[in-house]
Amino acid sequence: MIKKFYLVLIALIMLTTAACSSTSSNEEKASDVEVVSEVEGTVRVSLAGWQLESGIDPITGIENVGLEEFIKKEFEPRYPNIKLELYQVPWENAQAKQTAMLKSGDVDVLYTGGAFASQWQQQGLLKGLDELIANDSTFDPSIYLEGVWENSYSTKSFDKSVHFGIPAVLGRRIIIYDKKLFDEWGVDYLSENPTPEEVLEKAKAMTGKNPKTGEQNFGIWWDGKALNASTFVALSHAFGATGGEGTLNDLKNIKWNLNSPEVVEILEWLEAASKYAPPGILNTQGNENFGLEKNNIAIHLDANGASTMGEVMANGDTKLLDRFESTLNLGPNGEGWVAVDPFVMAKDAKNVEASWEVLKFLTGPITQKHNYDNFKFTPTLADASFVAKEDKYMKTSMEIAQVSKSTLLDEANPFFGSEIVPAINGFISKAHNGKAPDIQSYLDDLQKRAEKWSSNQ
Amino acid sequence: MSSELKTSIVIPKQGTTIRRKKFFTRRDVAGYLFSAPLLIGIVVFSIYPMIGALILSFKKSSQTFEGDWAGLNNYKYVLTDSLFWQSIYNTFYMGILSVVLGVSLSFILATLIHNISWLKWRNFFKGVYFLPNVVSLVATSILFSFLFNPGSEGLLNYVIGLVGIEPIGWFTDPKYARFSIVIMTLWGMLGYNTIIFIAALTSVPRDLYEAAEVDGANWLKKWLYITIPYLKPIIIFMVIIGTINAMKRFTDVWLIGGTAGNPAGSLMTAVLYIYRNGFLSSQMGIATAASYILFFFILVLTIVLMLTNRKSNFD
Repeated sequence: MIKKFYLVLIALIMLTTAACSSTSSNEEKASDVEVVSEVEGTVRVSLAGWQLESGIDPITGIENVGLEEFIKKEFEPRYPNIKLELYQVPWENAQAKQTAMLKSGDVDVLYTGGAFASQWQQQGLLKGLDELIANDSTFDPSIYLEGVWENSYSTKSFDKSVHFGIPAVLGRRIIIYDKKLFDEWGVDYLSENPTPEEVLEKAKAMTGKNPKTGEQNFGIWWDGKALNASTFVALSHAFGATGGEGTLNDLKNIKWNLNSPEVVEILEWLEAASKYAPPGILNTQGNENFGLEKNNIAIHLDANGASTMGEVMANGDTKLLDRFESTLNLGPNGEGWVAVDPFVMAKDAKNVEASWEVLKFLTGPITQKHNYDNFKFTPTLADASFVAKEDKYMKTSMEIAQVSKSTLLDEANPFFGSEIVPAINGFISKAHNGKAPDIQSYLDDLQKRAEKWSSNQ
Repeated sequence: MSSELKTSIVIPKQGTTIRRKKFFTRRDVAGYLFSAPLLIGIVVFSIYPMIGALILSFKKSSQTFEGDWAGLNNYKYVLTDSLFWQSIYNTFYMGILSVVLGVSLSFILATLIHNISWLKWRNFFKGVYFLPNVVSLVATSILFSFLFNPGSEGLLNYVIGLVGIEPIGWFTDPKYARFSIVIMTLWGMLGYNTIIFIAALTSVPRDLYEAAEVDGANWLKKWLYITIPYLKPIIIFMVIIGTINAMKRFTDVWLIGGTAGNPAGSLMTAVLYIYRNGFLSSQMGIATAASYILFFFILVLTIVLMLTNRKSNFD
C-alpha cells in the first residue's frame, strides 16, 4: 500500500515538474559564424565567478545562457582549432587558488579581480601584452573606455609602461537616491554630481520618523566593511586626498601622507554621516530593501541598482526605475572607485598565439554583450550600444569609469588593502558606536604604520 | 639463525648485554612500502610547507621564496605590532569562552541524552543536536547575520522587543560582538561534542554505578565521582581540540566583521591578522612569522593541557 502511495506521489511530482518546465529555450543567435582564425592549440582558462552552465536567474526568473553554451555557439565556429579548458573558481578564495594555478603552470588565461592581477604583475607571474597588441592589426584598444584602458592598475603596470590585462568587466558604484522619500521629507533632489556636503546635509534632513508614513528612515547607507573602502576612495577624490606621493612599483620610497588635513576631513565626514546610517552598515546589512517598494534609506552610496533592475526585468514594472534616481559619484567630476576586472595571460602560457586569440574574444564586444544580456555585467566598451535604454544605472557607472583614475588609495596598493581599509572601517565602526577616536592621532598612528611598512619593503 | 639474532650486538660494558636494533631490517620493507603513500603525502603536503613557511618567515617575502634575508625583523615587526596583540586577545577571549561553555554544555547535554531510556527519543535528540554541525560555517555566518540583524527587523531583536528591550547590536556593538560569535560557535559545535561524549559515556562500566548505588550514592554523586573522572581523558581531548580550533578562528569573523574585524576591531583574530598580511598586502614573511608565533602559542597551550591531564591522572 505504502509502495503504491509513493509510486503515485512520484508520478504526480514528475507530471507537475514536466508541466512547470518551460519549453522555450533562450536561443542566442550567433551574430557571426565566419572563421576568424585557424590557430591551433589548447588553452586553459580560469574564471573567477563566471557561470559556466545555463540556468535561471534566482531574482528575475529569466533563463540565462552559461559560458559553456555560449562558447559552443560563438567561439567554436570562429576558432575551430582552439580547444578551451574552462576552470571556474569561486570568488571567495579566487586569489589563493588562481595564484596556485599560475605558480604551478596550470593555466594560460585568467579572469580575475583587478587587485589580484596587479599583484601578480608585480610578482612577475603575468605576460606583458604590449608586443601582442602592437603586432595584431585586428586588435583595437580604442574600443575600450579610455579612462579604464589608460588609468587602471588592473590592466597597466604601476609605472604605466606595461599593459598586462584587457578590461573585461567594470564594477558598478554609483549614488542612487529614493525620490519618494525626498518628496515625503520635502527635500530637494540630489544634483547630478553631488558634493559630500550636499549628501551629508540631505541625509541629515531625512533621518528620523518619516513625516508622511511615521516609519523610521535613515538618510544614508554605505558599506562600512567594504574590502575596497570604495566610499573612502570616492571621498578622497572629493576632498583631494592622494594618500601620498610615489608609485606602487617602488613601495619602499612612497612618501605617505595619510594624516593630512584632507584625510582628516574625510574621517570627519564619515563620523558625521555614520549618525544618519542604520547600524547594519558595519556588517553590510540594513540595505536589503533599498531599490524596492519597502525602502527606508534616502541615499545609497556606491550602489549598483541591481535590485531595482531585477524587479523591472522580472515584472516589467518601471515605477521603481522612476523612483530610484542615480547620480555620479562624489569626486569633483563624478569620480569614484572603479573596479576593473581584467583578463590576463600567464607568463608561461603554453600556446601564446592561441591564448591571445582567446583573451581577445573573451574581452571583445561579442562576449561583453553576452555577459550583459545574461548576467548584467557592466561592459568596459566605449560604445556599448547593447545596453538597454532603461538601464540608466549602467550608463551612469560607465560615465564614472570614463573619468576615474587610480591613485595610491587603491586596492592594488597592498598597504591600502591590509591596513588603510581596516583602519577606515574600524573608524566607521567606532564612530557609529559613538566612540570615535581623536581623528588626528588616529591618522598619525596610521601614518607611522605606513612608514614602518614601507621601510620594511 | 633469525634475523633478530643477526642484528643484535653484544657490547661488553660492565658485564651487561645490550641488544641494539638496526633501524631498517628486511622484515620492515613491506611495512614501509604500505605506509609510503601516506608518508610521502605528509612530507609533501605538511612537512615541506612547514619548512618553507619557516624559511619565508626569515625573509622579506611577497609570496615567493625570492627576497632578502630579514633575520628576525619579521618576528620583531609582529611582536611589536599592537594589532597582533589585539588579535591574540580577541582570539583567546572568544576561544576560552567557547571551549569552556562548549565542552561543559555538551557534556551536560550528553549526560541527559544518555539517560533517556527510550532509544527512539535518544536518537532523535542526537540527530537534532548534531544537525547544525553539517551546516557549513559560511552558511551559519549568513544565517546568524540575519538572526542577529542589529535593526528591529532582526529576529532576535524582534523577540526581545516584544518584552520592551531595545534592539541590541549583536554584531555591530563591540560589547556584544565577541559573545555573539561565541553563541554562534556553540550552536555549531555543541552537537559534535555531544555525540563524542555520548559515545564515551557508553564505555563507563555499569557495575561502578551499581556499586555506588549500593553505597547510597545519588545521581549527582555518581555523576561527579564516577562519570566525570572516568571521562576525564575525553574531556581533556575535547578541550585540546576545541582550543586548537578556537585559535584558528577565521571564516566566521571574516564574513561578519570584514578585514577590519568590525565592530571596532573586536573580531580581529590571529588568523585574520595572518590573512591580512599574507594575502592582502603580500607580506608573506610577516604572515608566516605570525603563523609560527601562533603555532608556538598553540603548542604551549597544548603541552600545558596535556601536563595537567597527566598530573591529575597521578593524583
